[in-house]
Amino acid sequence: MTGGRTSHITAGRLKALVTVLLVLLITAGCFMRSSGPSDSERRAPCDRLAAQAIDADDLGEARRLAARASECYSGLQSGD
Amino acid sequence: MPYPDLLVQPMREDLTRIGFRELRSADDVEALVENASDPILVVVNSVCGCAAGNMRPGVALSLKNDVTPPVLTTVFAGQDMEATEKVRGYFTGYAPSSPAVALLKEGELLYMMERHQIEGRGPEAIAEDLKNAYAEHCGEAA
Repeated sequence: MTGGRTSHITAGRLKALVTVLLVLLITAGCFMRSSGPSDSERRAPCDRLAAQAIDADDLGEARRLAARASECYSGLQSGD
Repeated sequence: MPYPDLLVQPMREDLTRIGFRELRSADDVEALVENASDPILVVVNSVCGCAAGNMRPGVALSLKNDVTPPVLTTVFAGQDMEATEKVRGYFTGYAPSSPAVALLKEGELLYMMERHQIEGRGPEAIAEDLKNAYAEHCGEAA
């Protein structure tokens, strides 16, 4: 009878431990996701270059900036 | 679900500040497309990161050219749903795609650049294709 009670308590503790670990894992996962930049934040420098290319009056400058914007977007896709 | 206006506004302005007129409703689209006798450039703008990011400067570069379409318009896919659906009705034979660029004249599709022709290409290459289309459809001989 004592052995049954002991195993009941151990199972309860194990369940509690697993619950705490799960909560910690989920919290850590959420923190890691929310602490990284969003897609639009990562894209913002490239978008700025593209906007400068669009605004450039000089064709050479527009081409140069457009090429830089394009490289910037490629870098995002390759995860650089 | 549409993106927040705050996120989309700079992408709209990339085109409107170089002379594009935004078509925000189906009525806007119909009124312009049905009544214009000149070729109309229609840019289907999009939030879609890299493709649209290369498309907008590509379109801008293409307009630094001797021959350009006389009417510049844009709809925003995923934002101005009604206008986008209406304009896609003129893109006969093509599946919905964004970003995309089209030339229309009197309601007829003259030229279409779909997303797969934009994706993975730089602004210069996009601009070259568009300039060729302008030469074919918007020049004096067209």
